[in-house]
Amino acid sequence: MAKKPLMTFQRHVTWTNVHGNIKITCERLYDVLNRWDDGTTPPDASRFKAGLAGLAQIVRDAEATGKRVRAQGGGWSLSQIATSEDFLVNTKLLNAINIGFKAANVAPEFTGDRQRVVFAQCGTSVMELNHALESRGLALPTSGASNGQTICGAIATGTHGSNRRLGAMHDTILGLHLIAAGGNGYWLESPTRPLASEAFAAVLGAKLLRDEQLFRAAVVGLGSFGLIHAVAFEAVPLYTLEARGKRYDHADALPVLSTLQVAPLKLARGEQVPDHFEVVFDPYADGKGAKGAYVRYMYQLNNAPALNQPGGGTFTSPGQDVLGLLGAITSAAPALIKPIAAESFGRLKEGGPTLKSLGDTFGPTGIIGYVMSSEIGVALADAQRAVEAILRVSRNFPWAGLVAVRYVRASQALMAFTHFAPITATIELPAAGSERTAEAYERIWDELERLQIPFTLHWGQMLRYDPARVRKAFGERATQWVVARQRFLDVQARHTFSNTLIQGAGLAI
Amino acid sequence: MPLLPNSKGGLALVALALCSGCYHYQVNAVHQPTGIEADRRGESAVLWSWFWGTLQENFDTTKSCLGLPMKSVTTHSNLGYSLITVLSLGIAAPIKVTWVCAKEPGPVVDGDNPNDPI
Repeated sequence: MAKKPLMTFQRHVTWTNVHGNIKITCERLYDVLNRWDDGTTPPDASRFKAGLAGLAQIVRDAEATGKRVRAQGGGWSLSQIATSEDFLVNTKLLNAINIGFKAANVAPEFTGDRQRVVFAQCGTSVMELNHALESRGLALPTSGASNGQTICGAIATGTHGSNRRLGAMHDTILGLHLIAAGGNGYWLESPTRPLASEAFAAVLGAKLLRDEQLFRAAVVGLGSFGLIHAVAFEAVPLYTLEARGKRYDHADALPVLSTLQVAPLKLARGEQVPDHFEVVFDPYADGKGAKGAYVRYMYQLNNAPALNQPGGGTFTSPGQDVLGLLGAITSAAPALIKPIAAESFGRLKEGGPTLKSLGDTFGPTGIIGYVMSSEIGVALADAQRAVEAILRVSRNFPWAGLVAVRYVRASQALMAFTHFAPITATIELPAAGSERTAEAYERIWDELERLQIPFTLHWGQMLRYDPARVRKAFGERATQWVVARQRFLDVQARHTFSNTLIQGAGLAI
Repeated sequence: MPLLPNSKGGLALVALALCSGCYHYQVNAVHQPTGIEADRRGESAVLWSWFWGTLQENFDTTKSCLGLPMKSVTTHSNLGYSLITVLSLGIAAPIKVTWVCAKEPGPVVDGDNPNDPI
């Protein structure tokens, strides 16, 4: 008799995201493990099989009861993209990793190095991947600015890094294992970058699908093409990021935003554009000599760095109520916003170079408490105008945060907020959580709309999407995404894999 | 702009003084694979120490963590708990404890073993 997966659920659970700005109550919160219900676990090499069976059963449970189901990821999103009032699934315990595909599992057309192909279950965090890969002389091609996301949550919401030569994390994915209608499995990949053989799909009990449009839709699928059980990507040899930081006046940094012609900034390698380039603005330090723009830049070196061995020990940090309290105080006393922003900005260190791996460079966030953030994607050509507009709004209506600009190569994924070609500038607005910050975001979005600057909003951060705004942000891509989803899922399955945010955005049709 | 232009500022200060979890101390496995939370819930209990520490309440997390290891433990105190301790002359000393279970490190399988499925 076939073994049953170990999974449990609690009813009517109140769930809060990591940053404390999203709280929902779900009818069932499932925990699914890589264990059988008799307490045994499958062997390491096939450990994933128990968790896979668990996800399939949860989908069937949802279908049988007419409920919607969604994976929570790492709880990292600041929007409701990874929430469900019906069934929510904690996938974090599904964290098996296989590094290297055997020859029988790769398609004859695969052109990469099969020894570097990584199969990671959905709940594997970016931190776990960094540990596993870097200790083996490998690395993720790119990651977000911190490492708490699960790999599947990161790609499903369009998480990106700051490497302008690469796209976002989802752009490195070669295949997705979707658990869709009926709990049936599909291994989905692009016909232009084939990876897996039929034998591999059979190992997963999945049907092999090579469909370009469906892959482009599902890879940033917003949790709406099924539960993603696992992904595969090709790791790269371990590399070093040589990082430096330097402060400038706004007037010196702003002209670079839309050109990336960095020669006037006199960076360490002159006019060579760094692989990673980020500009952080203190919106309120805009005067001559105020040095209110901080440039962090990195060159990627092909040699392996010494890996960090954190020492631990006692350290002092802002308390967990501080950000929420700052938000409340600054809402009531806006005069305090500027010194608070200056204090945050002052923590950005000048100097360098530091030589670190990707995992050590983009490590755990030290921020705890009530945080808000929104992230805006614009075309490279519009970056300066958009940032100037944001700084103008901020000076008229101060809020307790900073403005950070990064660059990513345009994504082919249909609903990637980094779709502006050839390079998308991403403008992030991290802040202490408060009603005032939320109001500031509204005013910034209003101003960009008034100026008719085309922009998108990161799905995993605070956003304002309705059907009209989704069409405006994504154009024909949104229609193609909906059509691909309709082709893959029937009406009932489209309901099962929807949620309130997707429905409100007009994408659950 | 006035420093405290309306009553919200005063309320914020009162909240600062009286909020339910004013003082926090945390032991946290931040930088290691076992330092990743298993879920987003976290559980808590108010534990009491009696008669100058001669009796203390303890909590066993085996069941609540499904046998998984621990990621972090945070203690929370506030003015109310401090008042109880002072006014009872240390006979009763409560503190709130929150714990978060850790993920079990997943297997990392290398390779090209023909007997392995992947």
